[in-house]
Amino acid sequence: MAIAWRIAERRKVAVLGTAIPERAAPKVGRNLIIGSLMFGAGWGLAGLCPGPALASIGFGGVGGAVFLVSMIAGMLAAPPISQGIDRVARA
Amino acid sequence: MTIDPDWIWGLFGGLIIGSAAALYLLVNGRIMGASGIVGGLVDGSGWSTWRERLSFIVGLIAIPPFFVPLYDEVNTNLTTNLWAVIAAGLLVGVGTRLANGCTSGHGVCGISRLSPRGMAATGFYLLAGGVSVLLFKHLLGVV
Repeated sequence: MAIAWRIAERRKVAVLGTAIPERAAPKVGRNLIIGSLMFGAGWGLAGLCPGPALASIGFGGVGGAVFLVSMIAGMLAAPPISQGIDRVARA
Repeated sequence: MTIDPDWIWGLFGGLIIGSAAALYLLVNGRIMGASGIVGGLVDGSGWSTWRERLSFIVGLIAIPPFFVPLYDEVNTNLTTNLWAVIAAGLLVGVGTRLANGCTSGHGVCGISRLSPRGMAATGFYLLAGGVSVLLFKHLLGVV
């Protein structure tokens, strides 16, 4: 994957013509830290992160499906929570 | 052969995931981040690229069953405590959207690009994951 990045950044354009994504500003912000801590806590609790959560649907188990539905609910709740964090930080 | 060490599967799986991320970048020009691909469909921000998102999700769900015969038992290390699963899902959903990435986007794609945000995010979620396992599994025993 590191090799792929070197090729991609030199070529600037992918095979299908899409531009290679620019580097994000290297700012480690509040949301990155809080979000990653929340994600890690959930990951440790259930043993699933988003990719494997999707993959687990294919080989069954109610748990995987419940996790995926909860994860989607969490994603829907993220914008208001983010705004809430901003309000608290400003106050 | 009687030796079946888990780490070989881990290494093999990791190589496939890395190759998939490389292919997704070089061919499609996108960062292979599961939470971003799903999240863009959930909140509507990625509806203009719904085909590639849906293709990724369909592949991720449809392919693993073909590999199930390779295993005696599929162990996802998922707890049977459904309340814990729901709480975990909510945390992962909110957290990955706030942080704008998860293990695939920040971990696989970010670290390999030597991205400061990717490396920082990975450090924080690994730390929180370790604390979470210690607390909920080993100290409280709820999962």
